[in-house]
Amino acid sequence: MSLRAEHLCFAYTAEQPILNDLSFELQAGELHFIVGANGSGKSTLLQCLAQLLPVAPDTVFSESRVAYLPQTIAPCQDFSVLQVIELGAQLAEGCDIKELMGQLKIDHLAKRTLSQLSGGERQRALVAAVLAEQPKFLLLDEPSSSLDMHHQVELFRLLKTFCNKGVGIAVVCHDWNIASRYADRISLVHDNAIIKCGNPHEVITSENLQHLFGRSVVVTHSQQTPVVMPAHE
Amino acid sequence: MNKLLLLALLATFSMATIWMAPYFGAAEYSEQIRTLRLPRATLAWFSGGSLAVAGLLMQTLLRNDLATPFTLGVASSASFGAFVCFAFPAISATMWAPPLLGFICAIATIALIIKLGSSNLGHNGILLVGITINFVFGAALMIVRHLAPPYRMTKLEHWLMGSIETSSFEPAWVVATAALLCLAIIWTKRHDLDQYSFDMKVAQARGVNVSKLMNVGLATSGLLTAAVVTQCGPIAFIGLLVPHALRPFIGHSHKYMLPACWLLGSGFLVFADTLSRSLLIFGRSSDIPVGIITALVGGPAFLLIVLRKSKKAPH
Repeated sequence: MSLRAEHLCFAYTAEQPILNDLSFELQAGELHFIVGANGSGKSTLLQCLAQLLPVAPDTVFSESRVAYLPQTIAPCQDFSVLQVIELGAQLAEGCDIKELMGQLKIDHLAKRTLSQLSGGERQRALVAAVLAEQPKFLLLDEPSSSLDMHHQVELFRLLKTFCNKGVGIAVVCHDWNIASRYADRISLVHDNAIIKCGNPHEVITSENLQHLFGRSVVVTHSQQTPVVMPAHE
Repeated sequence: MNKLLLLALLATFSMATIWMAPYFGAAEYSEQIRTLRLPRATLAWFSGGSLAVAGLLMQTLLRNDLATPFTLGVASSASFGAFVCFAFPAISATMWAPPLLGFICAIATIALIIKLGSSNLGHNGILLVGITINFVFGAALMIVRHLAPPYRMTKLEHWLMGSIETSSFEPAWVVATAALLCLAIIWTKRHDLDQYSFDMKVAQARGVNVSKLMNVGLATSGLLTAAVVTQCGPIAFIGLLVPHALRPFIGHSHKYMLPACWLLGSGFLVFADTLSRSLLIFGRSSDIPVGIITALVGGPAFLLIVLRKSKKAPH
């Protein structure tokens, strides 16, 4: 079972294609990172996979429920954490909200509203809401952008446990070291297409990163995992 | 407070107002109660509920706390249609002419807004279109007032302030028919409205057809408003006040908010109407148009809600 895009093209205006003949596959049970420079089309790819943007027929194929969490959420009222999670749980039967909140360490925040939370707490509440949908495929757009390292680690460990239960998760992320540590596969988006896809060792190389960003990047290894840092100019 | 308990309390309040209003101030049952007060209370009950639900829908769909049933210009266009008939009796050959022309103007406005709404205007764009329509029909209304025969002005002014004076059940049935139809439609969309009020993109990803929901919601809210305005004139504040008053207790679930808004709105308007016909000014029955009472009572109440909310908000 997989979520696939084949020969996917998308443009907001005819002169400026965002995705051009792009193919992508998210397999069940994998944590798949989508990385690339700003404006390279990562978020657009997620929205096409979630079928939020008008794409040509027979370019996106999904055999099961897909959940999506955008980069920013704009609720028109101030929802409480519990209400947000209940909205997600409406779509699935048998979701144990208490257990989920415990796993994300937000059970003490149940009655607090989103505006009363710190950036990290808010992000964890939103991730809990999409996990409550019990999807087979989960698309997360920069879910760790406002989390400190401790909570980033907690979040991706939790996502890994969901992957182990068979959920396929695609994450747009700018943190190469987090991607390196937790990704099963990484897709490199550049020039409207995926230029490289593979495990962290295959993708995170100084050549690929230099090609992507146009600047020198040092890739070393620690605990058999690639570690990325900018080179001295 | 438990939501079901609150709904039960609201239902008691709403039913008590319509049950007691016709008899309020009467020593014994009389023909006047059956022929005048009962139709008036019934019209007030259906109109108040309709305006409150229309306000809730507008606030959810436009994702704006300040949206009211009158925001999109539907009320001013319906007012214009009905007003033309009132001002020039030659046009209104039958008693159905004012509501009919009012409805036609309102439906044309709703169709225009839906058409413009589907062209990627966004929420602010739709709001701006509504404000523009409001101004245009407001100006058209002024022209009609200017040209209307002076002897018609008293009735017109009274109607423009929002008034529930009726001596038959027919206006109440018009509003009731529109209300039942619209409520039946919007009740099927209650879960979609919940998802939509959280986030549009997330709602779309969860299978909500956002553009269809917007069209259905705007049409329903517009019809509810048009039905009330053509029968009673523009009645202020209910559509704004009632959803705001209930949200802190009910939350965001439309499963509870829709019936709660209906019950509080209907009860509140019957209460305000009873107050308007019972108030004695200089020892005489004043029969102030109910729109003035709702604004006078609703304004300070709304202010209190806003102040309370701002105290709770994080700084």
